[in-house]
Amino acid sequence: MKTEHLSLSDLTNIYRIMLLSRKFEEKIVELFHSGKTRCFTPHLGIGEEAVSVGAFYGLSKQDLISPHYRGATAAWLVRKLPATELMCIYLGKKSTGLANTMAVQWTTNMTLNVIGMASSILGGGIEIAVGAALGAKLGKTGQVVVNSFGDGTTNRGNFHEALNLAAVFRLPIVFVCQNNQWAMNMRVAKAVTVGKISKRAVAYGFPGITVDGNDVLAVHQTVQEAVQRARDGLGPTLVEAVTYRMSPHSERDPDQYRAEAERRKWRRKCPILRLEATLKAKGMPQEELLNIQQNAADEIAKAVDEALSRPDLTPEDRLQQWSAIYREIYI
Amino acid sequence: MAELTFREALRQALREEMRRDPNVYLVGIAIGSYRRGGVFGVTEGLLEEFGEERVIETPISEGAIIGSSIGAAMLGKRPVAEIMDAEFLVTCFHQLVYEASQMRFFTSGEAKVPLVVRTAFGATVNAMPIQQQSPESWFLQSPGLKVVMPSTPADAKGLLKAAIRDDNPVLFFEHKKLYDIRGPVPDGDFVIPLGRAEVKREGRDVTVIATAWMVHEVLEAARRLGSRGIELEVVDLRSILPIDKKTILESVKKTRKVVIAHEAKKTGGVGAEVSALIAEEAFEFLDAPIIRVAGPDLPMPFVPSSEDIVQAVESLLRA
Ligand SMILES: Cc1ncc(C[n+]2csc(CCOP(=O)(O)OP(=O)(O)O)c2C)c(N)n1
Ligand SMILES: [Mg+2]
Repeated sequence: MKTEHLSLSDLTNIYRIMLLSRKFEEKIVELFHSGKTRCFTPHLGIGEEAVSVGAFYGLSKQDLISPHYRGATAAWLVRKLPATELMCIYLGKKSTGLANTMAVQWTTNMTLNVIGMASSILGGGIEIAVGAALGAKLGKTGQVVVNSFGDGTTNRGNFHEALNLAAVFRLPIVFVCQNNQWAMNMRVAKAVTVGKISKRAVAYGFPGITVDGNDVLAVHQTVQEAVQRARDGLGPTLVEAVTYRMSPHSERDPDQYRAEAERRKWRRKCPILRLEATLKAKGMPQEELLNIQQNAADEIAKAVDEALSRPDLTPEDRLQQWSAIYREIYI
Repeated sequence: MAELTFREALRQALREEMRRDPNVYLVGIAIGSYRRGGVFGVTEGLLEEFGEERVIETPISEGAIIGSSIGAAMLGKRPVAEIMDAEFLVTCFHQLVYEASQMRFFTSGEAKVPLVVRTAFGATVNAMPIQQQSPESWFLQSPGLKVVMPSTPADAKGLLKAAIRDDNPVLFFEHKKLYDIRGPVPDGDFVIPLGRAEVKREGRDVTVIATAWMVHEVLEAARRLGSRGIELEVVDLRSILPIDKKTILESVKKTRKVVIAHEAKKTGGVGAEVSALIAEEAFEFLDAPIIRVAGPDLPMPFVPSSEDIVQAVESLLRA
């Protein structure tokens, strides 16, 4: 792992966020399967944390991020949203920090500059992210947009339309394809014939780069370079981060179409363990690592307790809130 | 007559039609090995029986799934495409509402599009804004298309077989809450003509017109009101394009009072069309204004229940 571009405190912070995301999602698995959640079926990114954290870490607060639905947990944590607020969405509790949509990936917060999906239509978010980049360019705000999406999503027409538009207008945007090698039960090689998804950038005349998506520092460095390019007015870049979907497609997917050996192989490439090894090599004492791990576990436990103490978000609450918005629109 | 779930009845129709006609094939996302047959398990076992040339899994490209199905249908194939969730129908909207539906008109009748598009719709969780849509009425403005919404396992089988044999594009809405319900299903070649409603329960007092899952809420309301001596006549539309005028008008003329129930939003829903039809053709038979029980005009479902239907009927009888 190349680490020159980051200070030890950044590395530690990245490690902390990845761990927090991992422990958060492991907790969601447990809560979901014991019937304690009240949310859209979780689609988790366990094992893919390096992509979101690497891509979204180190931007300015004004820069916009528009994360792939799988990986939204880590993206919100990078933006310093307290884990309790995320937990509220999963547990059907009233969140004070987030709009209540029953799924963190369908949540947008224009104060934190996080644009989530506004429907479940894959690829829709890419177009909106391109629009945000257009807004930034026209408004001369200096903001850059970083947008991520899955490998399967690059087969949607709107991916191609959006990338072409971004190229034609030379927009300040970085596209990050979180290639976890599967789209539900379809292996990426069965859905994409060009080999590397980064090659798709050739069609739009901007750079496409493939990186090891389980190496958080490589993802981070590559995206940062692309962000600089975007800031300098040189237009978009497509970064393909190759990782692996360790979670089932959703928590309702029995996931019986993949070989266990494949999963085992990738478990050994765990991005968190890899960063841990780097930190150790840099002289971080074992004790401190354990400390960070314990703090992350404590933070998640606290998030569950705090979320459980919040009032329920009932269908009536939602009806009232949305009806009020309806009246505002049509008075 | 076997006792099957709605899901099994659909699968039986697909299997029988695929065995009967080698031109029938299935196409969609994750319809093969995912959960051994799609997100809702309808196509289970069909990949094993018919192979990858007749159970075709595609990348995530709905526009191309439907567009290419239209092309293949024009060459004599009979594709049965699956759009995993009705929320995604927007991604193949022009293919459905212009291309599939207009082809026969635009070619002066020469080219036919014997295409079926199956899709799962409806709310399973009240007030959840994601993948809970009932967008059926968007398609009422697409002459050339047929739109089917079964409510029972037997109807699911009979209507799906009819849809596959029809030479025109048919959009087939499967309510997610129906997949597990059980009911008697005739064996073998059981086909129900498209465009015919069915009276699911006879009654003299109030006609309640409904589709899909809502038929069951209405039947529950009918049981509750029946114990108090109020007899509902329950009309299951089954097809919303074309709408079976005859069955509706006969029932309205008999009971003279009408409630229309659906999960979709009230404004511009199927209920609006049915109300207009009754107002145009049976106005003088009505003893009271028509009541629509529907979802509110909001981007998430608040699904009417049997209780809402009971209340609507009570207010109608008070009027
Ligand atoms: C237009 C559309 N079609 C289908 C789906 C159903 N769906 C949800 S996630 C998914 C797979 C997405 O694959 P990919 O983009 O690789 O992301 P991953 O799940 O692997 O993170 C599918 C098909 C959808 N949400 N939207
Ligand atoms: Mg994927």
